[in-house]
Amino acid sequence: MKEFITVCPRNCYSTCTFRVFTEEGRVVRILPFEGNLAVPEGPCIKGLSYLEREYSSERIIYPLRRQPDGSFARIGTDEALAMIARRLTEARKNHGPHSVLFYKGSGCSGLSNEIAGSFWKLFGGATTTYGNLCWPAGLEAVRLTLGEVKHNLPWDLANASMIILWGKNPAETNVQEMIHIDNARQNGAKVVVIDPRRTLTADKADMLIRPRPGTDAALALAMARVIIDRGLTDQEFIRRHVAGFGQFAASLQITPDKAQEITGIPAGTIIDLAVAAAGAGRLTIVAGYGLQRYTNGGQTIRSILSIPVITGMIGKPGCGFNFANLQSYIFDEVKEPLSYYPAPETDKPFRRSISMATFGPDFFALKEPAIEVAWIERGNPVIQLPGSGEVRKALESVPFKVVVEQFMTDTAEMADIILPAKGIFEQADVVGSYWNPYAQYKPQVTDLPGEVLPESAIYWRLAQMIGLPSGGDTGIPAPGDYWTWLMERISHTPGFVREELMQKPVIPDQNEHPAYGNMKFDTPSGRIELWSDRAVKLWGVNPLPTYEPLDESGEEHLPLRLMTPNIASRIHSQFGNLKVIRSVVEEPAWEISLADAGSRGLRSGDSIRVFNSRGEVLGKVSVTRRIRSGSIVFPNGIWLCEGGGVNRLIAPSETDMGHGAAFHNTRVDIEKLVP
Amino acid sequence: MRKGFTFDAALCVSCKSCSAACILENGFQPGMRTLFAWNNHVLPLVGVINLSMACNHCAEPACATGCPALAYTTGPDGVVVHHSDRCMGCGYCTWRCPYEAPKINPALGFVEKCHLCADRTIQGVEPACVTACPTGALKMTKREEFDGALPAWFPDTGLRPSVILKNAENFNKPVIIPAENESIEEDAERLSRQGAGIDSSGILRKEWSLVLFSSMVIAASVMMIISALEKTRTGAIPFLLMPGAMAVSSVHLGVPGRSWRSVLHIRTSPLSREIVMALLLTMTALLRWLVPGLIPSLITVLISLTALISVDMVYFAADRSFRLRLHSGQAFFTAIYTTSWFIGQGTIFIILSMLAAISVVVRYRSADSDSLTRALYYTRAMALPVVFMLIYPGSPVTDIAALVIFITGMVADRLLFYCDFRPPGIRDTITENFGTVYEKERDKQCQDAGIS
Repeated sequence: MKEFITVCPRNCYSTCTFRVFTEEGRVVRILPFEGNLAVPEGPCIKGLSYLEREYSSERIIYPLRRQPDGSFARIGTDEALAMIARRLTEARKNHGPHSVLFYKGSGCSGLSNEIAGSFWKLFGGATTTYGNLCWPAGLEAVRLTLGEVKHNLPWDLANASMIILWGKNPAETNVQEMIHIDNARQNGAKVVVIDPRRTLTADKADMLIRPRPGTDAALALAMARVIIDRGLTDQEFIRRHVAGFGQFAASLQITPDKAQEITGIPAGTIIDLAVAAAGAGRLTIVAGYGLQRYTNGGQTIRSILSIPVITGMIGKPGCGFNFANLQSYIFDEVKEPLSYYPAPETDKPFRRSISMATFGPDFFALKEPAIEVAWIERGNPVIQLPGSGEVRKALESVPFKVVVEQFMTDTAEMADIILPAKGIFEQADVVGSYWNPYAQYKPQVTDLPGEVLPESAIYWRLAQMIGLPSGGDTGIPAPGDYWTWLMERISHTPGFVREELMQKPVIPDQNEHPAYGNMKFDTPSGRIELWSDRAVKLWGVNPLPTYEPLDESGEEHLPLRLMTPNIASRIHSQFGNLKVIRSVVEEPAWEISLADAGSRGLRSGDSIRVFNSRGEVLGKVSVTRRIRSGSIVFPNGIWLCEGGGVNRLIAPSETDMGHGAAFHNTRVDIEKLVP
Repeated sequence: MRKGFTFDAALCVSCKSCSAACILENGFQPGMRTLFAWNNHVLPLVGVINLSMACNHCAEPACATGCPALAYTTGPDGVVVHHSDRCMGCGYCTWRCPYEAPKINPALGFVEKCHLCADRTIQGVEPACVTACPTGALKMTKREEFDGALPAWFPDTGLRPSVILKNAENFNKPVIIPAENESIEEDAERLSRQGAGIDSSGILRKEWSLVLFSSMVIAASVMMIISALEKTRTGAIPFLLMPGAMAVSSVHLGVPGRSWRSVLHIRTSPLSREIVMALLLTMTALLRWLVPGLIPSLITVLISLTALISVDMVYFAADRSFRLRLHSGQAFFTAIYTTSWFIGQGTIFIILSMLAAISVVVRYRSADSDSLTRALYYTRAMALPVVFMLIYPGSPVTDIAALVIFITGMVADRLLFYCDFRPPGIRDTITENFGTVYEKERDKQCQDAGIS
């Protein structure tokens, strides 16, 4: 058996390093890599399932072409690429390059993805998407406040004396973080979970506080007020490092009693929690992404972030605000969230971009030129974009669609040509992480099966066919030069030894721990900005952190708030199709509280219709104590054939900042289906 | 050094990576390594404990000692290995193991069980479930002896499992704010529903061949005992019943072609002993039929009674509950009860009838009953007054009616024996213990709140 150290390139906190063993050109074993201190134990269930995923009989390994009857038939790679090249050339000639839509999801990360950017630039541009479905409101909130988005090393959690997991559910979405949380508990730390749901993480906590969804900012600001009123702030820290504290303190109108009305959390608990947090000594707040998928998401994160700021718990071991740690993104010139924003229209004659969060309406507003060709890679927009009913209609209206995919997803089913996508083991790449601090090299471990081409090779061949420049310094390397291109790509970045990176994950020299330890904040004032002029200028929000009630106009009559979290067995719409996952995970069901079930005469297993003005989804109900009354929960990423497609119910709308998607602003009603 | 598992419930978040890894590594069917959760319904009065379990590779493995076909071996490292090429698929080990480790593969017919990833351990690599665990909750451990370190609730009937369970006794119970507003009564109802899992018709559909086999052995024994005691000719029927019984019993084997292996383990397997006794009974019946007077009465009675006991021992060795020991549907009791009816031993019959009545009443009080079980109990109970027929003998018509009622009652009781036969499983253990823990906590809370 040959052994390699590799990394999982999915859109996940953990970005696990693991060892793989090959036999006769096939990966037959996956073992943990103890050297990554963030993830020293095994990978998660999804990581293990690569043993099936890469070799599944359902994997697409030949180009497929849609037949008149809607089915797909295998065609040769040359024929497929020639057809695509012809359609691209025609579209560009007749309607201009912006009649081509280039959509990329987050399904596979790595520097090789930049080759797509080079191709479409040389193509003359294309209509692209901006924003991000996941986390930009929070990223922007942290950036506005602290200047950069980073946090302490993951294993530094063990040094905390109090951990508040605010809307984060690592037991399902970042499972190895539970190791560090358990270490902290062993050291005597108290763990508080703030989440409307009783998650698997909450089962391991000392306390679970369950605010009404979307009211976290009110809870945070009431805590800040208690901390300030009782003189529990770190005055020295504030004087030296914080801008806007006076205005912030003066602006706090939400008393614990008022917060009780808004959040449903007793005022006494809010006071106790605030006092405990301020007195913890080493407080780490770990915020999740679900709580910022609201129209008030950015302001919510700014509000929560104010607590460690006014208590001086930034820049020290065991302290901080863990939202995302982009310190391993050393190869990126523009880091998130700035890379999500539409480019300024000054440097090029014409750019056109539509928001991911409002893809449907934005798409139909596109005129001159309309979209003639759609190219979709690393994504499953038909399932994952909010307002997915409109997204489907939008894509249906596109005359020619290319989807690069591994499996027959709901998006792939709409394609005219499906190009098979590479697997995790089939191309070398370099991958960063937004939680662990390592930059990681992902070697090529096995050959490409069937007629699979990595995107880099697809683009090179298309460039040849269309007559675009390629090779050399065009950013589109010839297949034989890919390795050289990758090495060249990383050669100008300081902070690591290349040979070391080839061997194992490396923490770049520029990694700062504790984060912000040098008390330099990349904000206009150079200090932590509770007051942010940029927030006003860029996003039109209040310069201070505020609680903004959710805009529910037109939906007030719908009784249930819909939450669509991520679950352990999937990364968004990936992995759920695999046999091994299906054999150990229960079928997804709509979770509701006992009270809501009782008043509707529902029992677990009953069939229901979930609906609002945008559409309906049918499914089974699961009655559980894990959910508060007034909420309904169904995971995102479930395929239509599995009874998913929950995003059909969700309005295309952006978060208050960062061009995120406000998934959780949605209300629905349910009714029992009579069998 | 023995190999075994250490499991830390505090670190397990029920991610099921271990279950998936087991499937991917060994091609086992799902559930070879299973996640059991205490408090599936997350009732608020107590917390949650997760438990990942496959085989505990006991020092005294009940699966191996019970296996009639010698399909199990124990390696020098204490790993209990099941060899499917020697397995006849009787499933007796699945009854014997309180951890639900051996599992019948319905597609293949034979049993499969965790072997601590034999292919890996040869290469010095730890089992797949262990290397897969993302939080380090599951580890492989080597010890001279695994002793202690098990929670009080853990079923350990002298098997000495090679497992260490940490933090599997104390529930981590987060304070929940705002508190749940649902009533405690509602929880009690859910809890009782959780326990009510008996499915009698399912059990009988599955075990019909065993019911029939044992009934035929009982019938043959009764006939031989009667003929021996009454010094009459035995005739052909007992002998003809026995091969039929053996044929019927082989129906429930996953690999009937290997049924000859069933006699290989007389030393410790109650099942092997049962089959040997059944063969002996067949021989006796044959000889008594062909050469009357060759086998003395005493020997005939002894062989028959021993055969009956060997049938009961198969079940008693898997389900050690008091309830089953006192069951009036067991083979030995059924046979002597029936015999006493036929040989007109009125006093003995009345005493046995009273014992049967007590057994039925006691069992009914503690029964998890579904509609079929209840129907069987009523049938059984209605047949009991037949005892009065002895005191007031009637006409031949009423005698025949009485016989029919009596036999019906006996059959109902034999069926109930199978419904009541419940080899211990970790799932049931957890459910029962959780109920106890929960009720204790509820009483405490009620006391604290001043509610009596």
